[in-house]
Parts: sequence; structure tokens; C-alpha cells
Amino acid sequence: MHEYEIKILSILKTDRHETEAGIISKSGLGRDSAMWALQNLNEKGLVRIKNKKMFSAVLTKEALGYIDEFPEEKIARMSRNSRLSMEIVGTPEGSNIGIIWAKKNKWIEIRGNTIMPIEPTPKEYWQRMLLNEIKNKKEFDALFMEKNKQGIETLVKRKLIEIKEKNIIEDIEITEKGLETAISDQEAKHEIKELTKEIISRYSDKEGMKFKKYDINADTEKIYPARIHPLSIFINKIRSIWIELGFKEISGPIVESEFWVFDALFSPQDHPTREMQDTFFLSNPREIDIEDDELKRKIKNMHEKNWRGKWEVEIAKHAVLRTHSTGVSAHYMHSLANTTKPIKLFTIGKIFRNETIDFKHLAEFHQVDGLIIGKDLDFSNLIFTLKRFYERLGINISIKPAYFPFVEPGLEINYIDKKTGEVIELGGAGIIRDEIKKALGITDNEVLAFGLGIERLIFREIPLASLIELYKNDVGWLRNVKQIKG
Amino acid sequence: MASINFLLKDLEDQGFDMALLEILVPKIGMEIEKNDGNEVVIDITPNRPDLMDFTGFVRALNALAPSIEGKKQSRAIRKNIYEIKNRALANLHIDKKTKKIRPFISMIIAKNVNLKNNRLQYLLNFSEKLSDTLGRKRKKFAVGMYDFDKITPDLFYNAVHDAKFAPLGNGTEMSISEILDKHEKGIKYKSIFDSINGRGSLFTILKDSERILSLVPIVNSEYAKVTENTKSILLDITGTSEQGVQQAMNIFICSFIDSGSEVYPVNVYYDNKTNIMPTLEHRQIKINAKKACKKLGINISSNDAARLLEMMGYSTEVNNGSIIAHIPEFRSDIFNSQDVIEDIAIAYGYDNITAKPIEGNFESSVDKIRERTNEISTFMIGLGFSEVVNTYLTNEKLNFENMQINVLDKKNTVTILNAKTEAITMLRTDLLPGILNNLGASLTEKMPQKLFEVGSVFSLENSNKVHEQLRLAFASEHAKANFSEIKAYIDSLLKLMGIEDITFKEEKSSMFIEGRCAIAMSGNKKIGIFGELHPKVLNAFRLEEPTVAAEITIYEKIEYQFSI
Repeated sequence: MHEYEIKILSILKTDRHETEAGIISKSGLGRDSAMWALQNLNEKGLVRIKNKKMFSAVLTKEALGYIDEFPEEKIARMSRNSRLSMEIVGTPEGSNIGIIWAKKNKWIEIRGNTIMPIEPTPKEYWQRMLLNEIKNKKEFDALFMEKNKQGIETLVKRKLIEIKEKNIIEDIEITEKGLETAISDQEAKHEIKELTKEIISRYSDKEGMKFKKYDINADTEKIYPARIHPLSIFINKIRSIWIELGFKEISGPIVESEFWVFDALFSPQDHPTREMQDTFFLSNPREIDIEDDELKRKIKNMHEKNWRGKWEVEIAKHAVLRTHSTGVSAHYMHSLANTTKPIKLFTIGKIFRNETIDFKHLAEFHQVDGLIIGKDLDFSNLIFTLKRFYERLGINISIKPAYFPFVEPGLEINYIDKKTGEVIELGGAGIIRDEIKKALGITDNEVLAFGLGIERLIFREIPLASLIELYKNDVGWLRNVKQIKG
Repeated sequence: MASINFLLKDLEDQGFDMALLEILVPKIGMEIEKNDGNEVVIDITPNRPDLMDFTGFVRALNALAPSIEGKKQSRAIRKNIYEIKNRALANLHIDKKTKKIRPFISMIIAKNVNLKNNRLQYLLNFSEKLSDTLGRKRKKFAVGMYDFDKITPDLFYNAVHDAKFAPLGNGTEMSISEILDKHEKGIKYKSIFDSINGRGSLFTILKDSERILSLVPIVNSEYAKVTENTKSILLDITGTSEQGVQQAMNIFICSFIDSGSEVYPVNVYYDNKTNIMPTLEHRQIKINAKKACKKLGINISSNDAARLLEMMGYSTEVNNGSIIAHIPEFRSDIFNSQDVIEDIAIAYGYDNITAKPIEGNFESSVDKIRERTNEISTFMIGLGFSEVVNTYLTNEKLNFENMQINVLDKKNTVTILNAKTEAITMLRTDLLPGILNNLGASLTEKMPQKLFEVGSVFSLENSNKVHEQLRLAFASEHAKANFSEIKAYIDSLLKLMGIEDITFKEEKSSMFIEGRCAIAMSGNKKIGIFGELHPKVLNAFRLEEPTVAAEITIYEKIEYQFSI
């Protein structure tokens, strides 16, 4: 038996009966704990709980205006004071209902267009008296409800009050079985329950001190640990794999010019993905300057030579939210163009797609982008690197040819979901095109590049109804979601 | 990606059953999107428009068939280059005024075409898809087709202010402006003219010596419509990109020749000059077989490499370790040797490439901002707060209004021009609104609720430079939450963070209760704000219990150097 249950039984042992408030104050337990223990005792048949219905009423806004005078009282009063025609009283709010009730109460009658008083109104109009009584009572029992049944129904119908009903504990009574348990518990009273500093200091085997045995199957209150968000855990897991494989972590801005997101990566200026419906353009700032004139000229040449159309710097300057993080790779290809020491780089960050967001679709995702720059690199090295990365995540990938404007040869990474048999696309990779390398100033080096989705993989790690759930941060979800293995 | 539909039985007639398709289609870099046993839907990437054509698709699969063990080509593959006949079959007169509207036109006549057995449908689907994707919704280029035997040459490509004819699918005559406003195709494509010359000036039409054949590139007339029984096709491609028009025409020429037709040019009269057009450009690229192998990390002879290229539709000559690759005329995606090398890899099979590790030692390193973020997270976990990850994209209501911040001037906010939903208007300037929004959605959960986030916020400096900051924010909601609780957290946290010389100063802020809000200073520098949130803020986010919160700057300004 739980300690709280023992406490409650010992309270009930002498007087046999107790109220809810009595149990709470005498036991010193919180209300939740006391109710939980009572419920347990009830289920074990050690106490009997008697419930009672209680009522409370909420006065509507309209009723608050009736506290001193009901509209029918007002009409009757006015009709006595002066000649009252229907047109005059017809307009103000509540007047019509006033006339109806005043007539019903036989205080007035309508002659032609005039309201005539008949009988004096009672000083203590029953509806007003009842409304005030209800207002002053916080709670009332079934007896009161029964006694004033008709009156309360009238007030409810007039939408002056709303009645709320709840069950409260009227009485708690210990059962015979409960009494026996309480007594046998008392016999065991000399056993030590809570270990205290004082007991520890005087503890001796010789004194035959005995510890009370606890019910190790008893329910306990839930403890929710503070936790790291699953997405952060997963991103760190991916980071540690790349770091183990010898990659340096880099980063770059999410607000970029089209120049770095598209133009530097050989995406023609009239390419459909650059259109409004796929990319977030910014209204503030509208443009981002491209400061390097030499580079600007080289990129312009690359476009005009290969795509033949006119390349416009005004388009390249548009500020966008990056649609992939390969722009970061472009910056680093430029800055590390002719590194003599081979180098491996990766970045993980947010990317954006101009989607219609709803309960299932998001406009922002994460991507990991990687880059290997060096002299003796080939396509088979790229395949090795990708296979090794996914192996560490426990995924057996397959690759197939694919097209991305900035790589040649290009490949796509897939895996087959074992549960659904669905082929899931994880990302793309390839060798950076000669045209891009030339424009960014790379002369002898080869560049292997890849861009991989993150969110897709999270579905393998934790159960998710949709990606939205991942960003909702519902406290209940955060407390209970399956822990991702780091 | 564009998808194209073929009937399975037509592919089977060409020697490709479903099992074979399932191997060959991914091998060539495409995907089978759907297959219901009757119709097969194939996804085609934008670099290979030639595969959206039935003839082109079958041609590619047939050539690649020997890459599967035990399979042979079911028909002989072409060894020589494609040729157009020398003799022009018609005269085309180009009106000089068309140069201002839609300057480029190319025209051929294909004789002895066979459009039975769904070939007509495939041809129409292909030209429609091609004009829509590579032709950028007919703006860059568009394809038109007519029954040549029903036409009375000469042909005229003219620019007119108005004209009347009966457009396809409509028995009665309409004027150009009626077509643009009322005809389904007119409504769909009229913006092409709007973007070129504004409405109401000049429009391009194609006519023979008797009648109007089409309002280019919007809609054809009923006259000279191509049917299953058509024997000769007049095909024109018009556009604003010379390269686009030419590349599209090359694909059609090769397709007609491969399906057994002869292709004839036309005599073009323009500006008092005459030319026979089009011509088919033959390109070749010389490949060093050794270098190609090195790039792919495979080891094959130059003869083997040449054989692989033939499986991709090239014709080749091998000479002393170098391969002369004749680029198939229908391929517009081959810029230089790297593109030819990819085709060697595709024919070789990506699966057959042995993955090889990169030699040498590589030193790794971590991003310091990410590391600091992780470190701060461990501090917050120690204080009993759970992490949340909110989106960067938000809106003014959540970010400002709910926080009781009155933003008169949004010049310091990074705002979005073209979001599809009202929920997205800007990048977040603070972290707390997101956290309070999370708490507001978690009312039924047991208290206390304690959440934190570490992440970037964005603003503008000098009204055009984006300023990114790394922040930490946290909030604690429960019945007894009060100022001393949040101050205690701040105090221990700042010490863990190694910040020295901390002082607190009372602060007025519309989001906190007056007299229960402070800023934390390190020396003269403001590093954060904290306090008891005002009931107005709590109500705006629908929080029911007292909540204390703080927002602290971790990095004042994140700058990207692009160096290591």
C-alpha cells in the first residue's frame, strides 16, 4: 500500500467519516495526490466514496443589467409615470421582452397604441429575487434546484443564467475491510517508514530496527526529464559522422542573392525553378550587391557562352531565401579554388521552398551539403563517400544517373523503405561542371559535391504523422517522443 | 521533371516488356512514375527532352539494351549521322516585322510519315510537352504542325494587327482579339504577347497562299489539321531563342528520320535574301579515354569506352587512345567532354563502378557557432528546460502584435515578397514568440512547462544588409512562476556561460509587467532581457498560468567569412 493511502486510512480510522476538504487538510497532501490515493482505496474496497451533484450558475451579460430592475418592471413603472406609446418603448433593447413579460404578469395592457398600467408591480418581483439569490450563492445543491425548478427554468429560457453541474465528494467512509487494514498497519507502526537523518545517525543492528516494506508495484507520479529536440539530436548525429570521415564543418547565410544560389551554379536565368512559385523572394531587402566585379564578369561569360541568352545582373542581385545550401559550397569553391592540400567540407542548414503550408506541408527544411576539393578525385571516390555515410546511419543506398545543372556526371541516391517498399529519394551528387570550376577560378582541382535531405531520414528514426509535428513543439509530444539514438 | 505517357503494348511491340523497362529506365537516369499494366508514365529530366518523344525513347533503350547481360539490340542502331534532304519543298516568306515580336522560325517538311498506332497522339503530346517545358510555356519556342498535302504553298510568316479565322475546336471565325480573350488557348497563352509588345499592336501568323494556318504560337486553324491519315507534315518551330528553336528542331528531324520518313528543308525569303533552311549541325568532341577513365575511377580500354558511347547513341572513331565522339544531333545537353564522359558512365552502369576511398589524411573541424549552441543547450537541460525548434519564417501578428510590440516602421525587418500563405510574411526577429506559441498549444499538459530555444534571428542594418544574431530564449510557465525564479536562472546561466561583471538594471518593456522586468548587463553591454510576462502577452498567446521568460544574445553578429 502506498504511504498516502496509509495516511488517509489512519485519518478515517477514528471518526470513520470525513469530507474531501477534511482529508486534504488533515493529511497535508496536495489535492491531486489525495484524490489519487482515495481513488486507489476506493478501488481496493477500503473506503466508500459518496458523490453529490452540485450546481453553479453563470449570469449572462444581459442578466447583469437586470439585477436592480427587470425590463418588465421598468415598462410598468414608466407606464404609471406618463402616457406611454408603443413607438417610444419599441426601440430600446429589452423593451419588447419587457412588454411581453409585463403583459404576462398582468401589470399592463395595450390599448390601441398606448400602454396602460393595470396592477401595481410587486416590490419583490420573484424573477428578480431569484436572480439575486442565485447571484449571491456560489454553489447550490439539488434541493435548491428542485425547490426553484420552475423559476430557474424561466431564467434559463430567458438566457439570463447558465447552469453548470459537477460531481463533488460529499462523504468518505472507511469500510470494514479498510478498518482492518488500518489496524494491522498500526501494528506495524514500529517499522521504519521514511528514512530520516535522525534514524541514520542512531541506526544499530542490535536494536532490531526493521524497515517497512514498500509496494514496489505502486504507481508513482510521472517525472518528465528536460530533453533535447529530436531534430537537434539527429543533426548532431549527422555532423559527427561527417566529422569522423574527415570533413570540416562550414556555414553560410540563408539570405542570399540569386547569384550565389543559381547563377554561380550554372542554372540559366530563365530556368523554371527560379520562378516565383518555387522560391521565396524578399521585399526587404530587394537586392544584395555582388561585390566581386571580376567574378561577376566570369559568371556572365559562362552563362552567355553556354546558354546563349542575355545574362542580367539585375536578376542575379535579387535577394532570396536559399533553396539549397549548395550556395555555401559555391562560396567555398571560390575561396579555396586552388588549395594544394585536398580538403573535405560539409554544412548543415535551413533551406526554403515556397510551398503552400498546411497541416502537412512546411516551407523550410534542412539540408546537408558537402564538397571535396583536390587533384586526384574521381566519381568512384564520391560513391564511396556517400555509401560510407549512409552505412553509418544503417541505410543501404542505391545510386542512379540523375540530372542537376551544376554537376556532370550526376547521381541520385535512393533507398527502399523496407516497410512500404517505397523508393525514397535522399539526395543528389556529382562532379562539379568544368564551366563552374573555371568561372570560380579552379584550375587543376576536381570538386566532388553532394546535397542530401535531412527530414526524410527522421521518419526512419521517430514516428511522425507529418513533418509539421516536428516543428510544433507540443510539450506533450516533446515529453513522450521516442529518443533518437545518438 | 516532365512526365510522359506511353501505352505498354506499344513499348512491348518494340521489344520492351515491363521487366526490361524497370531495369533500363532508371539506368538511363529516368523514373517509371506509374504503371497500371496498360499505360506507363515516365518521368523525364529536363536535360533529355529527346526522351519525351516515343521514337527517341525507344531509340535510347534499344541502344542501351546490350548493357544488360544476354540482351541484344532488337534493331540495328544507326552508325552514320542524320541528314536532311538537299531539295527544298516549299518557299517560306518572312515578314521583317516579325523580328520584333517572335524573331526566329524554323520549318521542315517530313514525307512518308506514319501516324497510325498512336503515333499521332505521341507526336502531339511530345510537341505540347516540349513547348511547355524547354519552350517555357511556348514563350521561348513552340511547335506547330499541319498536313502539308492540304496546303497551298508559298508560306508566309507575317506580323499583323488583326486577322480572322476559325481556330481549332471552333467552327466559326474569330478575330485575334476575340481568340485571345475567349478561346481556351488564347486565354492560356496571351501573356506571351503582353510581355513582348503590350496588347493590341502586332501578332504573328503563319499562312499559306490562301488561308491562315495559325496564330503563332497560340492556336492553329481547323484548316490543314494533322490526322492519323496524314502522309506529309509541315512542322514549324518559332520562338524568341534561336538556340531553343534550333535544338527543338533537331530533335524532330532525328525523330522523323528514325521513324522512316524523309525530311526536307524550305527556301527562306527574308530581306531580299534566299536561304535553304534548316541545316543540321554535326558536332564532334574528342575524348582522351585515359582521362575519361580517371575522372570516373574505372579502368577500360578506349575501344570499350567507344562501344559504351555507341550504346548511348553516339557514333565513334578510335584513334591512338583518343575517341572522336559524334554527338547525336538530338542531344542539346552535350556541352563538352565532361558530358560525354557521363554518358560513358551511364552505359558502363553506375552500379558497376567500384567505390574507392579517398587516399590521404583529412583533418576535421567543427563550426564554432554550432558548438556553442550545443554547449548552451546542455546548460539549459541542466536547468530543467526542454529544447524546441521553431521555424525561421513567421508573421507580424505572432512576432510583434502578440508581444505587444508596436512596429511603426518595418524597415529593419526581413520581409517576404511572394509567400503563398498569410502565415508567412517575415523572418523572425526574436525567439520568444515561437516559444510562447508552443506553450499556448500545450495547455492540457502538466505544469510546470519549461522550454528553451537557441537559434538565429534576423534584422536589417543600414536598411539593406541582413544582420543575423544567435540568441537563447527560455520561458517557464506554472502557477508560482515569478521574477525571482527567472532571475535565479539568469544568474546561474550567465555564470555557466562565462560572462563576468554582471549587473541588472530595471527596464520598461511592453511585454513584461512594469517593475518586474530587467536587463542583464556585462560591463556596459546589454546581453539580455527577462521578467514576468504581462497578462496581455499571456492572453494573446492563450497562456493560462503565470509565465516568466528571458531572451539573451549569444553572438551579437554572425558573419560568414567563407574561409577555414
